[in-house]
Amino acid sequence: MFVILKDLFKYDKRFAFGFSVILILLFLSILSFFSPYNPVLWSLVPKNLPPSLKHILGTNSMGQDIFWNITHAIKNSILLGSLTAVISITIGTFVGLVAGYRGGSVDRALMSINDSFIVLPSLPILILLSTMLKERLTIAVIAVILSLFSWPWGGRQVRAIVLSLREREFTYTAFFSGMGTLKTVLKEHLPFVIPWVMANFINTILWAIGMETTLAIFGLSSLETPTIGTTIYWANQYQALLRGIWWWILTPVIIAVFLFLSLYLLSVSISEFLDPRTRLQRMRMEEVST
Amino acid sequence: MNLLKRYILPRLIQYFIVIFIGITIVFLAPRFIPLDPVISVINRITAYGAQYMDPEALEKLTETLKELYGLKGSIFEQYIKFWKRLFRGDFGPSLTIFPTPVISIIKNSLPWTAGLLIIAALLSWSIGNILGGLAGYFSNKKWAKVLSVIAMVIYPIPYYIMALILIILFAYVFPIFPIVGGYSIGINPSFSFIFSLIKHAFLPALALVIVGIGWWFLSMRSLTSTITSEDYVVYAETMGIPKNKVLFQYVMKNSMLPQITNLALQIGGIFSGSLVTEYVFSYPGIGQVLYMAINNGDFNLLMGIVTFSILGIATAALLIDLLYPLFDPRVRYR
Amino acid sequence: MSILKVENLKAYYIATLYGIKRSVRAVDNVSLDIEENEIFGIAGESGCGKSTLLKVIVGLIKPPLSLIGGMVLYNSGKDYISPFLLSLEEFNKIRWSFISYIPQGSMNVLNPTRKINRTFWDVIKTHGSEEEKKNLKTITEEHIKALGLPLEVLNSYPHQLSGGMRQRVTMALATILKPKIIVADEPTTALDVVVQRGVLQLLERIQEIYQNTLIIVTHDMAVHANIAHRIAIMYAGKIVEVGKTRDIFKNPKHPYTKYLINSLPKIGDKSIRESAPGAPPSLLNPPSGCRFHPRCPKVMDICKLEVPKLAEIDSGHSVACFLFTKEVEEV
Ligand SMILES: Nc1ncnc2c1ncn2[C@@H]1O[C@H](COP(=O)(O)OP(=O)(O)OP(=O)(O)O)[C@@H](O)[C@H]1O
Ligand code: SF4
Ligand SMILES: [Mg+2]
Repeated sequence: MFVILKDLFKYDKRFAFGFSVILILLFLSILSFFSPYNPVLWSLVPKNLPPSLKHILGTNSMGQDIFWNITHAIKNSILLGSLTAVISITIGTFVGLVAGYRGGSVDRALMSINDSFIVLPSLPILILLSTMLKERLTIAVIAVILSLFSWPWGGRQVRAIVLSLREREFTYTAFFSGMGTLKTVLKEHLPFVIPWVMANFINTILWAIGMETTLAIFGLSSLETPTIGTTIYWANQYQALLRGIWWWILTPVIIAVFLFLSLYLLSVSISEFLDPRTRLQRMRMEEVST
Repeated sequence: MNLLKRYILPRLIQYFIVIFIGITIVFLAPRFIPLDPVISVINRITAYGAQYMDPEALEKLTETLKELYGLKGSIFEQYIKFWKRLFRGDFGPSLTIFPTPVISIIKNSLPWTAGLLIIAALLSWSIGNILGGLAGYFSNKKWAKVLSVIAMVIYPIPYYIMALILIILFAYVFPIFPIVGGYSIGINPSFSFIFSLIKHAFLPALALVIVGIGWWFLSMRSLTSTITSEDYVVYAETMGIPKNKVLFQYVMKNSMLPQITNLALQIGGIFSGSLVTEYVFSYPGIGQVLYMAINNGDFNLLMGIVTFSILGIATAALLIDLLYPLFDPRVRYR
Repeated sequence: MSILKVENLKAYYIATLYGIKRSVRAVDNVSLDIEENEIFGIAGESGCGKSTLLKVIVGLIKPPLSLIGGMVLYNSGKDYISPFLLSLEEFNKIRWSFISYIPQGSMNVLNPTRKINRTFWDVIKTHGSEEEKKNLKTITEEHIKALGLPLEVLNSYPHQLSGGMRQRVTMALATILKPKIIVADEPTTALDVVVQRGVLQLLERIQEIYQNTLIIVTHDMAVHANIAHRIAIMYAGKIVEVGKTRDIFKNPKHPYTKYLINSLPKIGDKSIRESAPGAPPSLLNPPSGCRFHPRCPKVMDICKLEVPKLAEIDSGHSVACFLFTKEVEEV
């Protein structure tokens, strides 16, 4: 595993970039635990100060230090994304495994539900749900409602993998040796599915953070919790752009762009690495080097 | 006949399943949420502008709301009623612009959104696919690599962030375009009206198109590079058929096909994007109305918009799917 | 006078992945002389480099395949020309009108979204004379009729045809401009026996009608016995024996050829067929000396050190084996 990461880092520039940026962002989010300011409180520092040595990214109109605030925002956004990914991948993997393994009408029913969620316009429905939950929105609640629309992509993928794995011998061996369905699924298929789940995990984080940002601009997020989305929301509420407090709006926008880009590059390079064609080449290559 | 049975029928069934699931979510949303939506709405309205409403209207409103959220009769009866109202296009009155029916508000803003959406989708689809196809076919060329890097940077940016970036750029760095509104007020509907419209729709459309091109470019590029190594393309090249013909008739023609299906799948996402950009640029479409509905707690309007979105997107996706056989002979003749 | 010459040809697959470079020596020092109007067979087990050799012969070299050395020469009537030295434009002129190629797995070489006659017209428009371009419809139809294929295929899409029919259509496509040389890679593999016979008959028919040279690759020795005039046996990227079909079958010299011939079922013979022991060698890291030595029952000391050269031991019968020659190939 470590060797793979090292190789990817060395030979795939996209991976190297994505990985480095993510490490930096993770570092920033860990830094939030040492933040001298409580992110929920206002008027802790003088308002609207441009970047300076004391406040390296300046302060906002609510009297908060933007640098320390953004460390919390990064942490919360990544947390939200990961939580959504865990929930939706659990659902997606389960549905995909069952559909792929059971086949027949179970498969058809599950997949047509799956596809429906892909076609349905997610934003309006998410807006409806979060408007109704407005007072109770927390990171966890948002993660749950976002999962409603992020499980199907993984579901389809896992199903496709299971279908190709099913053709392999060990399924029949397992079947004839009397292993139960669930046990077969867990023991025989999961190890093959896990690498794909990883790529999907990153994609879901990406999607979830983007969606939270989008909901936040409509004011439909946990507005007291700093996230990348709510930071932009407050900056807009105070018309940071019009009033020339560019450091307030620019900071979350730039962080967002880097976060999205690096997550995307990671997922691209991982899925390329998992591509059966390059995998085969790599296997041949290992033959040579041994 | 075969086409109908193997292709069209499954898609029609899927269409009804999509609508069924979508509408059911809309129906269940207010019931499964631990707040009483009626009370919370009434509270909001009284907080905002009770002085405009006499007790009788309030009574009527409570009734409407109860009916709408399915608080009368058994859940099954409510569900049936919900569908019946939907077929009549009856979403009740808007609470913000009381008592204008929700349906007429939607009707007013729908064309704006539809226009923006269609133009943005078509533009980004065709530009993204052509560029992506070229970059996939000539993947060793320098310009192809540069384009790919650009697309890779643009694609993961959400529509909203892209819109913000455009605002920052165009409003402050190069102030050419108005950043708000559908058309300048006080202009007669004439040539200059259209011109003004284009000018105002330009930035929202641009945000949609830029992000869209990123997506279509990247997916088309990878499709094309797969197709380029297909036996029939390699053979066409072996036969010495001119590069242009190979590119368009052998490669692109085949790699465009999955992109038609992808358009059907992505149209919901593009719609979501257009809602956001509309709001950011104060373009007078559904996105704007949606924002108003959220801000004022106008649940009738919100439900109406969500329902319409579901119907509209599912229908658009179905239409695209139904057009597909025109382009793929493998589906047409079986 | 030979119509096609291959001289000391070397072509390797070279690829770099995650920083490690590797090369597969798929064609390693191959020389051949192919006569006009003959059916020349190339045999050998899977992975020995047959397809690669054909690709290089028809000038289809693109990464990861790269030409390391040697030459391919076509006899244009006046003089010898090499596809490697022509500009793309010049090369395009001789493709299909001088040499054409039916690739392995040719059932899938037809564009799924293009009507068959369109593809024929594409070929004529690319390589045909002005005269041919003007009559492309009639030329196509006549050709299809001459080969005994139903005319309806022209108006179909590939998926509407059976695998065998697609294979035949591809052959018709390769021969539409009556090339001097047709190169066919495994034209019968993956088809069932009855269809195989039809395809072979079609190939013979084409050769009869147009009097051209046919180079046919297959690992199926029975096909060679049926149609080839001369056969080359390929092993691990090298030609180990060349001779008339009769000589190869009646009097095989190379130990590997003997295995190939012996593995053919014979009528009335119930003894168990023996095939070469061991596995085919890796072309990433081929064995030293004679590449067959790890599997050869007659291996000698020299075989592990030196590479035997392909040398004529009878008229028109050459072998690369130290049992018959002392000549050593320079590396
Ligand atoms: N694109 C490629 N990259 C790397 N190695 C390759 C590539 N194509 C073929 N090879 C290797 O080159 C060798 C020769 O392949 P080739 O296709 O010429 O064999 P063949 O004799 O035609 O086999 P078959 O009977 O299976 O068609 C094989 O070992 C194969 O693994
Ligand atoms: S050269 Fe030696 S190893 Fe090779 S085939 Fe002849 S006897 Fe066998
Ligand atoms: Mg081959």
